Amino acid sequence: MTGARVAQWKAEVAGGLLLAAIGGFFLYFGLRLPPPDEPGVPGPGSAPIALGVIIALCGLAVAIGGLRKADRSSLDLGGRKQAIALISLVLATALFEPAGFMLSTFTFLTAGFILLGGASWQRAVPAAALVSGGLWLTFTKLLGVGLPYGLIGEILFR
Amino acid sequence: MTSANFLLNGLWIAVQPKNLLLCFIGCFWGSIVGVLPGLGPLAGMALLLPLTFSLDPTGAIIMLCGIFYGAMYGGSTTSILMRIPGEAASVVTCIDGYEMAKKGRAGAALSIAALGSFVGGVLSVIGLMLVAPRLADAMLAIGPAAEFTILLAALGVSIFAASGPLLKTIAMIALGLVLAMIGLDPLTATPRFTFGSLNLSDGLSFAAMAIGLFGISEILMSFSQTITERPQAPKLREMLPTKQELKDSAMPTVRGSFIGFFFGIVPGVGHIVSTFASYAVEKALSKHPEEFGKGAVAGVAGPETANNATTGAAMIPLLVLGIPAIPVTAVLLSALTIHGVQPGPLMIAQHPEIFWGLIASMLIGNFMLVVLNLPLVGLFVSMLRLPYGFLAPTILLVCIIGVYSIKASGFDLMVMVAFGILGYALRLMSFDIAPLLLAFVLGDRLEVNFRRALTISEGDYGIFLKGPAAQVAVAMVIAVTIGVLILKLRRWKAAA
Repeated sequence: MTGARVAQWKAEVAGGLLLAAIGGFFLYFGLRLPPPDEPGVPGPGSAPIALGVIIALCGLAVAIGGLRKADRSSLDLGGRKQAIALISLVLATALFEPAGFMLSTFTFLTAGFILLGGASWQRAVPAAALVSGGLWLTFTKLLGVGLPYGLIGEILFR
Repeated sequence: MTSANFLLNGLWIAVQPKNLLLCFIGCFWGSIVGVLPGLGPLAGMALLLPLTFSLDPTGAIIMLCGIFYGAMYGGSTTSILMRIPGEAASVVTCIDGYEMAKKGRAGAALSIAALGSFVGGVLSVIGLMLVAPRLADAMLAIGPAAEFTILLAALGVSIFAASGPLLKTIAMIALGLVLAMIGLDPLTATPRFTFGSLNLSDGLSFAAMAIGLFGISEILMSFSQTITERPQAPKLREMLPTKQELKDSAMPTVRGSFIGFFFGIVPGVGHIVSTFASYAVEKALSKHPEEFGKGAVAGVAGPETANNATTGAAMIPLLVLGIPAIPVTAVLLSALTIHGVQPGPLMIAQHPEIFWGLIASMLIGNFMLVVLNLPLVGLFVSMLRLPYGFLAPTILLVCIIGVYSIKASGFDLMVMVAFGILGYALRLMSFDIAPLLLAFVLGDRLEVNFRRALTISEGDYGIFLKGPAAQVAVAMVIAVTIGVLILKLRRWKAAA
């Protein structure tokens, strides 16, 4: 399966710069932490500063390496399925607490089975209901794990 | 009490019905995650981590370890039948295992892999039993400086053992260390990188990070692999290897056990290197090296044995030093910590029931797996027929439940997703993410020991080289560095 593609060297440069930015972030905020109490003994900011510098330097080196790369092959970033899985995962986790377990997971599974599994809604809906209900009962009733009820959970199980 | 008495006591603990059941659940689930591409032992363990909260620490570790070595057994099934490694350590088995299957010897290959795994697993547990208590006694005397040097050496070795390019691996380790520093400073309680958030003051959740980096990213990566083949499980009567096949696998199994055990102890090296090393050794020692790649029995027996021998050995740095040699043992460390047990030199003395119970359960579990895996190979193969489009959303959902149930925190879910995306991006760009997780786990102890040692020595860095433990650790780093440089030089010369 092939999806969106980007030149390998561009991905290396972008990844390297992202690392350098992360290093810069920890360096900047590490410098704002209180200085050591005793000279020669590291304080709370010492290690983050040193590590920030290392990450930034490595990131820059990776980016420069990407620019110099003779190999101009391309990198598969993933296709439609990865994008659907990611978007639905983000939505499911964002709605997990506010909408409750049953509603968020039922919607997530139905969408997943249809869009990722290519199932018809007639098959996806009962399968999603079965899996989310089964997981709910297993985790809350059998294992005693606390999951957010939400409206549907309140009606059905409380 | 002698070791034999402790082991008998451990056996008594392990054969309690509850612990036997937990061992069985772990082994069975482990075999499943080992078979299914996209679910390795780490994700499998992380997913069942919440299940262990209601258990006692011994039961919890018995089940989680069962998943660990169960996955190593399960991984060989798809490697042999379909040339698809169920988990990364089974890559080598694909080469000759699949060739044996093409010749109609799939059943024999599965049996040889299972027997080798059993022998390797049992011998490594015996090694663990013999080495760990003695090493723990030696480690009790060390101070913060030596502990820092040993931890640093563990990270240093993992730099060279990582699969990614050197610079990228160093960046991953530094990133893991600095991410471990988010939260309250352990010595002064100064908030670091929390930006006033209460969620961040406890630091990032290890489980959220691990499931995101390995579980979520693995599922995303797996969408790119399409399984078109429909494997047929061999019948039970086809499982018996011939006398010649058993003879051919005997010595590779013995050698694989030693190779696996050695690589299991070295931090950061783990299963993949041990299986490749075993394959290389078998090929070099074989009278018929030309048969390798065409269905050589030794090419299955050696690596599969090494694979499982590594599992028992990897428990030594975890239980004795509190150092997770590989990401999987980092999950075990996390599980033990959640249960209030701190792995380290004192663990064997303070919690003998956990250590010896685990050892005994590993012996039982390895036997269970041989009995389980061969007759049930048809069941495991049928799981591969489940469409991935159905499996993936269900696994993602279990990831969500797993992370949420630890602290009932919506914030941890966001951390999981963020690290899932980060892990996917990093893997696409050939970054090895295992060192990031190892560094994250060790970061806190590294920093605390570093600063404590310098406070004691009033800023004298020479303290890190004092004492035999620190000197051994430094010597180990120097030896590995030289070894790797020689290997790289040879490769460079060969390429030139």
